[in-house]
Amino acid sequence: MSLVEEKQTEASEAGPKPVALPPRNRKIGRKALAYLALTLLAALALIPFLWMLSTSLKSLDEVFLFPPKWIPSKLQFHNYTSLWHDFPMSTWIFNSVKVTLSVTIGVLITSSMAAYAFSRINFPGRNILFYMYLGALMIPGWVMLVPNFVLMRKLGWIDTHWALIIPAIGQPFGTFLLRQFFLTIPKELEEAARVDGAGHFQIFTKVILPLAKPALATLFVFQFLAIWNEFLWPLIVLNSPQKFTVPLGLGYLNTAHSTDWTRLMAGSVILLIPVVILFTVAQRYYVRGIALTGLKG
Amino acid sequence: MAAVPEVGTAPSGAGPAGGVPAPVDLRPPSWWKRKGYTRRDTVAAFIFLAPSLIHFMIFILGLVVASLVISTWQWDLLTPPHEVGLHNYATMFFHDPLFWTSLKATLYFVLLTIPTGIILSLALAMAVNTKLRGIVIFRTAYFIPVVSSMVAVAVVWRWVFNNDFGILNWFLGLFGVHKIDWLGNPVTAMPAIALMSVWKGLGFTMTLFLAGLQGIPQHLYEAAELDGAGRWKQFVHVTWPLLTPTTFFVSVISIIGSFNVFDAVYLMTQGGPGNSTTVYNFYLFNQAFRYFHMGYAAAMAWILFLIIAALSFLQFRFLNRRVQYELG
Repeated sequence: MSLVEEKQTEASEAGPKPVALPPRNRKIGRKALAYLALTLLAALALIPFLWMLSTSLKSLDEVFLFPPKWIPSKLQFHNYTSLWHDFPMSTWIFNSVKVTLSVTIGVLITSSMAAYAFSRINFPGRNILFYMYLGALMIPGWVMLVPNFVLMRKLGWIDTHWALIIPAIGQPFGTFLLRQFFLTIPKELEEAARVDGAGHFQIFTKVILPLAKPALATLFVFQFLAIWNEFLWPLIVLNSPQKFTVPLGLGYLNTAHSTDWTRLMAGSVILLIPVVILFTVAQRYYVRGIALTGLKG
Repeated sequence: MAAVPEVGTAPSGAGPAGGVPAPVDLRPPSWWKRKGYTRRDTVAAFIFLAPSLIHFMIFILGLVVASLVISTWQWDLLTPPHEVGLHNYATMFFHDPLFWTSLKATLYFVLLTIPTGIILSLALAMAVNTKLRGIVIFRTAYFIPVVSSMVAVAVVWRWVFNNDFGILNWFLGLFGVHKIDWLGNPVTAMPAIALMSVWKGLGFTMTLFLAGLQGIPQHLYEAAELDGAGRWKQFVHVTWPLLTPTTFFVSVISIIGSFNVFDAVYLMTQGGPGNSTTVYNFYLFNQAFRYFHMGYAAAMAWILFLIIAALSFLQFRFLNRRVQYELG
């Protein structure tokens, strides 16, 4: 043990001697370096958010200090409360929650049903339909933007939440992701159920869905984050502030009150809270989803 | 999935004909038996598919076809549309300098973000690619920018880039650099947006590279070390060639992502100053929802689709030859 320590100090003082370090020391060196890189990087990723939080609790005078001041001298919680006072913040939050949950649950239902058909049932036209779904993944959403707006106008859905929910409720991506997972569930399980007299509906609800919980969680996280953060489509179809979602409301503040820094930051914090909570709790599902649909797909 | 290259041809060949189950009184054709189809399974399949398929037919296939049709119209939504054939496309190419300006701006953005993003995220992935305790906490930190709303991110980066009290000018001031009005100067506005975009996407691409790195068998490094290969040679002869599929995937995904840039521009510069950050999609958005040139905007969207498809295809062809699949 002492021998190892000796060598360690010797090596660190010896400078660029071409002598190979003992493997264990090299490992420690690499680990220290990795931790250093990790920490610097984490700081770079998080500093803007720390600033957001700190500014959201400052008085407006402190925002304009240069060099920047990181700790507010007195916590100004009224930056938050005045958002509720001057803007329909509760309505925006309610709208966002309503739209996000409706779309996410809708996508889980339509995608899991379609994925069941694509992965567990043998029927004519299956491959053609599945290739159509895959092909749809390659078409940028911008192609659908204009006709979708026209359709929403025809249906009288402009400035309603239907325009946010109904066009988003099906997702070829979700079908693809769940199908990949359903294919990994062994056939024997469903055959056992079939012997017991189960039909497709029972196999779907009693065998496949319970086993697919991790994949469903992955899709839930993906969809929730995508819809919660969505900005472009709400910007196009919503007009009245009472219908806004949180990102749209904050986007409106960002243009109309662009120097109201403290309240903009407070609004940003509110917008980020659900995202950070969901991601922290469910990050392994999110990361797994990237691997499932990306590299190993 | 080996299916990816075939995908592009699928939408043209596939019609909606398969969407309806056979009428009840008709007996299934004889080839059904050979393929093992039964009427019971087929009916069940289409019941399971129905919600998704109906949605697909309206909101994807229907809209794609509608988009093609609208792109041949001159239409302001208020008066009836005029059928103008390929006029919109001709206008774009020959009579609209702003179309070219916006295309150039987008290419500039792509050039600024892709190489930086790939080099940085690969370097970071390699730095992080050791078994470490607490890695989950770090990964959460890196992913916060990725999963955050662009609206919130834009607000805080407007402060980072602020001329008078932003942190970037403060930091550069430590080295004696004079204040720069990042978002207010046509030369620096686009690099500023690119910097923010790279920052926001780094956690995502790093994760992809990390997965790729962890898929490289450890024994290859051991063999290379026995042959006397140093760190750099190991990178050149083992890591880089074996990582090519990942690099390919990451670059395709990143290029498509960069071509779709909109929110950042809308929220931070509104295309300005001048037209220096008027990227393609921002211009498309203005054509559609400020000037109500619906046909022109639809045509622009199809050109965007063609550009992205062509780039992905080229990249696939070009990289395919160099991709080293697993050694077996």
